[in-house]
Amino acid sequence: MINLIYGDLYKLRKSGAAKVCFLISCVCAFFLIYIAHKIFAGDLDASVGGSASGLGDIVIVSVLGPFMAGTFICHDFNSKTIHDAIACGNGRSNVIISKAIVYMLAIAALVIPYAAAIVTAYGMGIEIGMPFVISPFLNILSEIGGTQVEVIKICKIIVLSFIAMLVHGARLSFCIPLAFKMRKTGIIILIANVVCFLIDLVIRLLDEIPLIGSIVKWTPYAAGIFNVTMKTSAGELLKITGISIGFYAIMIAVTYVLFRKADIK
Amino acid sequence: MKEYVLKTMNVSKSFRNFWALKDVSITLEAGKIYGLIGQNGAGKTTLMKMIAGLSFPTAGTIELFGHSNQKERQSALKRIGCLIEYPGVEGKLSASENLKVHRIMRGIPNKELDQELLELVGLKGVGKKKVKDFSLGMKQRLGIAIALLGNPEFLILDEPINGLDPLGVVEIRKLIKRMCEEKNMTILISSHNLPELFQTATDYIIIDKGEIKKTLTQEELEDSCQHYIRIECREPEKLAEVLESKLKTVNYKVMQDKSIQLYEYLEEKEYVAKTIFENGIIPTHFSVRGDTLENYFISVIGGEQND
Repeated sequence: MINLIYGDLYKLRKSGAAKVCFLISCVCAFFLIYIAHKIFAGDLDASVGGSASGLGDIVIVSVLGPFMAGTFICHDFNSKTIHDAIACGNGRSNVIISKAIVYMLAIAALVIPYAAAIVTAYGMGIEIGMPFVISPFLNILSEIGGTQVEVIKICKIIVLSFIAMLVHGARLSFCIPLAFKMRKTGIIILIANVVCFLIDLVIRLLDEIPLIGSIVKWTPYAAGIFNVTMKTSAGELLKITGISIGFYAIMIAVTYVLFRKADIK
Repeated sequence: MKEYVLKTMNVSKSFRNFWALKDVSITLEAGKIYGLIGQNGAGKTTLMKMIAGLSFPTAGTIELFGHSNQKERQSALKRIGCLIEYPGVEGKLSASENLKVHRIMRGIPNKELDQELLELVGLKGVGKKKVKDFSLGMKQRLGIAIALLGNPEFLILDEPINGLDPLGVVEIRKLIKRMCEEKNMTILISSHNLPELFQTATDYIIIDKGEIKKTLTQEELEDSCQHYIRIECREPEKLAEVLESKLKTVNYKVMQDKSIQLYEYLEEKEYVAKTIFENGIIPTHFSVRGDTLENYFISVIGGEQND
């Protein structure tokens, strides 16, 4: 399995699409912090925040994440990389797990620019006001921006960023069974984007039903899961981490059930 | 004791109500080149995919290197290489980068292997050219190179000479034969190019509508297909003497029915007839017989077997 991961990472390194996605994420992260600071400083009107909300990590990862699934999973069916992996003796579970790990790393790579942006902004003493879009990174910077730089706070930012990566990955993990089942890049991107944009809305509407509400709070789609701040307790952070990892594992298990006896054309 | 690389026992495969394979039982011995011959849709690729673990039989068992248990068979897949349908390559990478990806996936650390294999399949000078700019034949060569990674003991090639130029066809044929001779590799090739398969394979498996119609060795096929002059007469011993002394040939066979099959002088039938007559032999039957490979194949799948 480790060899499959190395192979995928090599392809990721060589992938122009991955580099473009990373660049988009970097640009959006930079402008998100820049606009937030300019609004705080009064140089920009607060209404700009509405337009700039699309720069937030939730939107960007929701758009680019399915694209990554299409590129690294569906495309591997088209290029027969997955065929070759199975035909040279790798079990289907190993193929799925290696893809899931690399997919999580790809999502993490989309989130890293945001983490780097707030660490940089914190180090430069940049302040922002109340976040104009839901984002754990803006939450963090709004709390500590402009305060004295402390190593312990930087470490906490890194931990919170890591947890944000896990949550993003878990929220997009439904792309994995979808990609293994459908195997068509365009369809995955279309379906996953629609799901990403609607799922929070639908869940909020259904949240009032007690049974659904009690299930949803144990998924990465729970309300407020992105409201992590520097003051969030360790217990709460562990719970969020556990939910994210658990949900990701469930999606991997679902993928295995779908794929284990499937004919690969 | 014969060493079997592959055994399939009554393997069948259905897709909804369509049976792509029915009770396919074949045995492949180590160190031979098997030509799998069949029309489009006969079941060749379906069979190859099942051997490679990409598909599962609806019924029957597959034994690979003596392992029929799924887990052990999966492990045994490490000893095979395959090129099924079209080559699996990344268009945006170069040939050596493609090989590198597959080599990394197999856990092979030897970096020099990439260039060695490219040279082996005739892709030495492609440099950094992206595979998406390759011709079909070049992609096919790369696919063969990928299949050869890990030095497989059993190679499965689905129409490997598709898109190759005549020189490429010869090169790949020589490569396949060399692999078989030097490394005792077992090779299963499917092809529509029967004359080319005839020059490459040692054994043949004819498949039609999902069923194995015939398996035969090279010698059996040659006997069935080779052209000859069939001569019947009352004195076959005298005829044999005339063939050896006057026509200077021993390339003939005396059949059980006392007729003689002469495998030479096919373009000089009149000369043969004249020589026989001048030496006092009156032929009661004189004709040219034998099948082309295509006609033989058609006769087999048509149901009339040339026994």
